[in-house]
Parts: sequence; structure tokens; C-alpha cells
Amino acid sequence: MKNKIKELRKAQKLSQEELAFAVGTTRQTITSIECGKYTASLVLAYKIAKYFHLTIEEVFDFTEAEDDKFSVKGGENGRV
Amino acid sequence: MEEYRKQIIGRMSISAGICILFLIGIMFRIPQYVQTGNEHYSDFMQGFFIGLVILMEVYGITRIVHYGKILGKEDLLKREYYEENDERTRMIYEKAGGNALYGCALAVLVAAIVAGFFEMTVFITLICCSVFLLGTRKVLKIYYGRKF
Repeated sequence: MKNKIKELRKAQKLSQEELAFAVGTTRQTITSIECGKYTASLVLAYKIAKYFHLTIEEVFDFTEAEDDKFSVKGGENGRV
Repeated sequence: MEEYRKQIIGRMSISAGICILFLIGIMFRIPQYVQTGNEHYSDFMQGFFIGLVILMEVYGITRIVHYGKILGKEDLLKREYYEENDERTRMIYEKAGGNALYGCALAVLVAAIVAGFFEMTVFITLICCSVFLLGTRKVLKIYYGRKF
């Protein structure tokens, strides 16, 4: 899933490590989310969006998910 | 975080307990009591047990030093907590077999030690089995670590 985390992070001159520590996760997880390899859980997506003072929809792009409404990526329910 | 700190202290105590137990084992030369009919086989088994004990001892001490270091600094403690409870790490852990595969490997290892007192072929087979299970777990962890 596409997202704007990298852009938002760069705008605030924030490292992956700093963002990870702020939202209570690891640097590797932030890297994977930025690359679109890993789909964050609802809780983590909410924490990231809250950190940037934005809504989840503003950070994560749901267009692909809406196009393919029957797909549940990786079978992980409750992930955004 | 206080709850996690208590958990870490508990883990440190367990590690210290195991270290002391194995140290007593070495002091009383317990591995030397392993005697079978074949002299070479007995030597091999004794060597294996001594190696296993030293490995456990080193691992236990490493854990104690690590926990001691993170207990002193709040930042390191938080980082350790986040690493342990990170959703991606947990998912990879679960996909790589989780505790089930690890438990199986440990059970096979215990079975190998018990079987070692009776039959060398069974002992080596079970050790290979245990190593294979642990290897599979490691490979799966690397695979899922790269995939996600």
C-alpha cells in the first residue's frame, strides 16, 4: 500500500529511527511500510497519522484497496 | 514500562539460576558420570555434555550482561520493549513457526540426550533432527524478514 510517510518524514527532517521510537516500533518496520512491503496494522497506522497530526487517509493511499475490494493482502485482517 | 522492568529482572534471575546450576554441574563433574559400554562412545558423550554446558553458560552470561545494560538506561529499555513487541517482528516470528517449532526442537534435543545413554545412532539422528528444525526456523525467519 502506498503512503506518504517518507515525504512527511523528510519534511520534518526526521530519521526512520526517530519516527519508529516515537510511534513505538522498530526502524525495520518503518522501512518496510515506506517500501510498501509491509501493511501496517490499524493501531500503528493511527499512531503514525497522529504523530504527523493527520488522518489515516491522508497518510495512507487506499485507492488500490478500494479498486480490489475482495483482496485482503497477506490474509492479515484489520491491516490498512 | 515498570511491568516490563520486572519481567526483565525475572528473566535475569532465571538466567542466573540456570548459570549457577550448570556451574554446579561442571564443579561436580556430572558429565563424567555418563558411562556406557563403549569407551569411545562414553568420551564422545562426555565431550558433548561439557560442550552443551559451556554453551548454556556463555549464553546465560551474555543474557545477564545484556539485561543488566538495558536496565540501567530507560532509553535502551524502551527500545528493547518496542523491539520485542513490534508487530512486524511478531508476525515474522509467528510465520516462522513461533514457539511451536522452537518447543519441538527443544523436546527433540532433550529426547536426544536421554536416548544418548542407550544408543548412539538414535542420539545422532535426534540431534540432526533438532538442528534441522532450528535451521528451518532460522531460514523461514530470514525469508519472511526479507518478504515483509
